[in-house]
Amino acid sequence: MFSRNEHSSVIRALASSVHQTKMFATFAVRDTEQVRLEMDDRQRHKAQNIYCTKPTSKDLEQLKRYRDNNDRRSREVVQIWEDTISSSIENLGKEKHIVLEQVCIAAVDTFRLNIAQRCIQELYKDFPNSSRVKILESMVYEADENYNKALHVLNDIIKQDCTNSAAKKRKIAILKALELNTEAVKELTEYLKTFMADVEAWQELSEIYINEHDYGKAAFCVEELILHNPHNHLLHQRFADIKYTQGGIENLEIARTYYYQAIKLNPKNIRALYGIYLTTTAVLNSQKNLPQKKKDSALKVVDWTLKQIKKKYSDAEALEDIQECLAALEI
Amino acid sequence: MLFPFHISINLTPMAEIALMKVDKYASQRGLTIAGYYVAPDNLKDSSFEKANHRIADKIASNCSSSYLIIVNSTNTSIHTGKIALKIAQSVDGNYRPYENPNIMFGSEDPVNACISLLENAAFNNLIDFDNHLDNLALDWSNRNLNKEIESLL
Repeated sequence: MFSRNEHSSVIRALASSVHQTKMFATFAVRDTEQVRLEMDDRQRHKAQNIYCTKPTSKDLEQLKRYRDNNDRRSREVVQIWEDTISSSIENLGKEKHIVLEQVCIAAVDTFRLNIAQRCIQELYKDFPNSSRVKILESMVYEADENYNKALHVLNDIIKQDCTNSAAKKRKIAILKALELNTEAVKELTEYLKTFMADVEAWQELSEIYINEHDYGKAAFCVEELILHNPHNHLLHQRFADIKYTQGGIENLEIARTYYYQAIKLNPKNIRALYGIYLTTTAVLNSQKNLPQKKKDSALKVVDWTLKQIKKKYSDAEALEDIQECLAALEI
Repeated sequence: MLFPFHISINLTPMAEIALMKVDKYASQRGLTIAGYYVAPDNLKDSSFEKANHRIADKIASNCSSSYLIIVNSTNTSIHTGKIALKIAQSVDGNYRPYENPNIMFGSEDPVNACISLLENAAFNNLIDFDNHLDNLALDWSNRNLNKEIESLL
């Protein structure tokens, strides 16, 4: 069936990005509870017959890969669940709970709420009072657009444990879903006062600001991210993108500097190359009475970037040709 | 033909590059960029105000009667043949929405074509400009996918 959330996940699947696979919905918080889950698993596993065969070890590896890479592969995860796991939950061994959680989130994402509910029931059997499972429960309400009930569950969790960051993040996600962006920003800034080192939250805040066209504040958030991770070329590039969007000669110069830094950190970053090209030509065009010396060097830069870009393209084509040849050989 | 891209559409640099590329591609084939198609990531969001940003304006300055199309995700009655699109046309630089767009498709059964594309998970093969920038060997003009779509229509 082409249900409402199915539709949305199509759109979101289109919108999911390669280097931004971080999803606000699937943050991997390794809190004390997870450690407890794993410890408990280990004990359980010892008690079980260690010779029991795992019929789905290949699928489990696949699921683990999705988790480790933070891939949003909800359809595939649900498919694996339906094909193999659902009939043999007890054979999951020490990964049982983490897999159940993963399947639950994937099922919510693809609007298969009965699967999600089954996972939650299984988890409640082992952890009757877990706030982590309660958050999953709230996500089912959320998917069903029953936001009041979801918020009720989350507020209860926060009342018991005011440091539960996952619950607070879900609340912000609900505000975003309701298109209450100003409230989301307010909550998120409040959240960041307590959890200043939460890189994901800074990233989320910068993206909300970008969508609201508040580029100055978005740039501030990205600066914060650069402080946390100074060697990530994507952050430098993102900062430059924002500065370029802001416009004005001063911002263009800043943008260019950050593009240079991005390309220094990763010479393969084609966006940074394009960025250098755009900023340099923009500076050339906007300043009529540029000294000849500066003009010449700018032209040289433009020339160099264009050559580099061309080279990158011919390299890519050559690679494609090689791959085609190899594919032909394989047949 | 569609040329998609997705990362932070509110930042201009890569959008400018994409437009340059698409413009060159189009003019080489005697085509014009005639519209801008948006699928907002938030389900509830299908307003023209939000989508009507710089890219749409740029396209309007290039093609005077260009279109702005928004996917209205709250209208999901695709099975009954209703259309979940909102359409506006540029008139003197402003986008004016159509009240009840009467869309004619070139084929007899666009809905079934959509359904079979969805069932084949054709969206997995869609390559947008950002995928292309991540890996230049990927073809952002989606020749294969466009062929597949044409064969269904």
